Amino acid sequence: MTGDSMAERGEAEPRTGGRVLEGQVAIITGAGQGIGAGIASALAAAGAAVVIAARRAANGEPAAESIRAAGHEAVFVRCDVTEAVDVEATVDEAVKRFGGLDIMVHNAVAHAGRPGGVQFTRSDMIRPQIATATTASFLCAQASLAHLRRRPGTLILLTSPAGVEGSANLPIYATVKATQRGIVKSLAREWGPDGVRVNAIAPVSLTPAMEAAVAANPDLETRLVARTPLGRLGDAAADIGPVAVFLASSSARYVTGQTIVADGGGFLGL
Amino acid sequence: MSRDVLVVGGGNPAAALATELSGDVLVKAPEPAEVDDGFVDGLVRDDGTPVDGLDLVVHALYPDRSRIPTPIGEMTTDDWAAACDDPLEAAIRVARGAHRHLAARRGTMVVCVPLVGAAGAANLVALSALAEGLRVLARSLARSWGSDGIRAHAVTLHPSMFLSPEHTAAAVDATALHDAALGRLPSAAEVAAVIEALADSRTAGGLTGASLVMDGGTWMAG
Repeated sequence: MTGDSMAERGEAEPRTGGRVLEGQVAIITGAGQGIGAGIASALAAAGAAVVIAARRAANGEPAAESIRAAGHEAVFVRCDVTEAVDVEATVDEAVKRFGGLDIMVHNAVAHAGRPGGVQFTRSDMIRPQIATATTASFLCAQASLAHLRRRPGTLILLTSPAGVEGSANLPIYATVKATQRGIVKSLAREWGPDGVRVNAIAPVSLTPAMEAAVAANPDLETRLVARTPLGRLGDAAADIGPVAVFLASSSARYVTGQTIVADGGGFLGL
Repeated sequence: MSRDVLVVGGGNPAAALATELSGDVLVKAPEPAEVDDGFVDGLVRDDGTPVDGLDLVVHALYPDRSRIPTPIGEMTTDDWAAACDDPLEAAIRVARGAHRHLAARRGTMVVCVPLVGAAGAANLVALSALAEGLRVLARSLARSWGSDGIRAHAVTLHPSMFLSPEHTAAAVDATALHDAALGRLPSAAEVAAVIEALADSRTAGGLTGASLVMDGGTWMAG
């Protein structure tokens, strides 16, 4: 069948540029600020109706309002991604409000604690990091599966370059981010026959968490920029958001099981 | 002084490796939920002496639930925790507890992981997540423990060393693995020999953070 045109195979031509996600529905977890908010803005600007899933209304409502103010569709839903009932309710709300679900983005991340070796990590900060990255990836996948199969849609997990190369100072964070890459690869194989694509983005971006780290350690930004070939830290909406738009769009219709590192070239090990 | 080795895990590959590794080998196969930060400090040898210093820790703790292929849509939250989250947390806590014992001997930690993590396998998503988490945990340990003289590695093994023959056949199909270039898979003795080489500072003293795939040439990717 490789010689047949896409039209002959009954497939839509890839759409590029502009509102490539027109008519689609997306959920973005941890979208109250930072990379999640940037991805939500980008998906909305590309035409998707977006659900801002966040634990705190104080972040989530303004994030949704700013997208609506720009003329796009957005709604905030309170969601603790470590609770199955919250994730399921968020998916239900997306389907009820917008008629389905095409794009599930799991971005929420737990506080990693003070930098240091694994033996110095506070004992009570281990399981929350597993729950927010690993367990929640499972919950997001499971809750969205039936709807993603129907469209078919796509699942995107936010991992990290640390999830590939490890981290001396954030070893638990690196570990849980690596689990997400395992999930992506295996789910891509499991869901591929249904047409559901699964990919990961490994970003480095200036976020509130990064800004706080820089405030505490002013040399950090200089060191990060120095090892970034593009010479700057990423912008969540302008640099990371478009990668999510690409992965969610028909332009990436033959891309699954991959990790796209969006870090200005800092990590080149894949 | 004899070489003190701790193998954490029940069933294969832990059991097979434990019989092949040389030295004073202590094998423990706890339930993941039983592993806390004091797990290693609390270990006692058969003769009643406590563990005090370790030259090599081999971690291969995979509960039965991790080894049973199941579509993700059929897993409960408890299934997921038992197959992935609990053993992942256990590995982190083993590492935390092992640190001072390894530092005392300038020892080595080796984490054994199944190839399904790096290659991906349908219906083994939880095992894949666990495997990739552990593979990168070894890299993080290598980065942060290098200054303490501790080296850390991951050794990636064919699914047959973790799964039953029936489940291995399914996993090989689900992972789209090639046939082994060597025409056979490595034996437990060969894997143990590589682990011992990694732990030997004379041969591998300048090596840490390696992610070694030992599958007879099945996969050959990054």
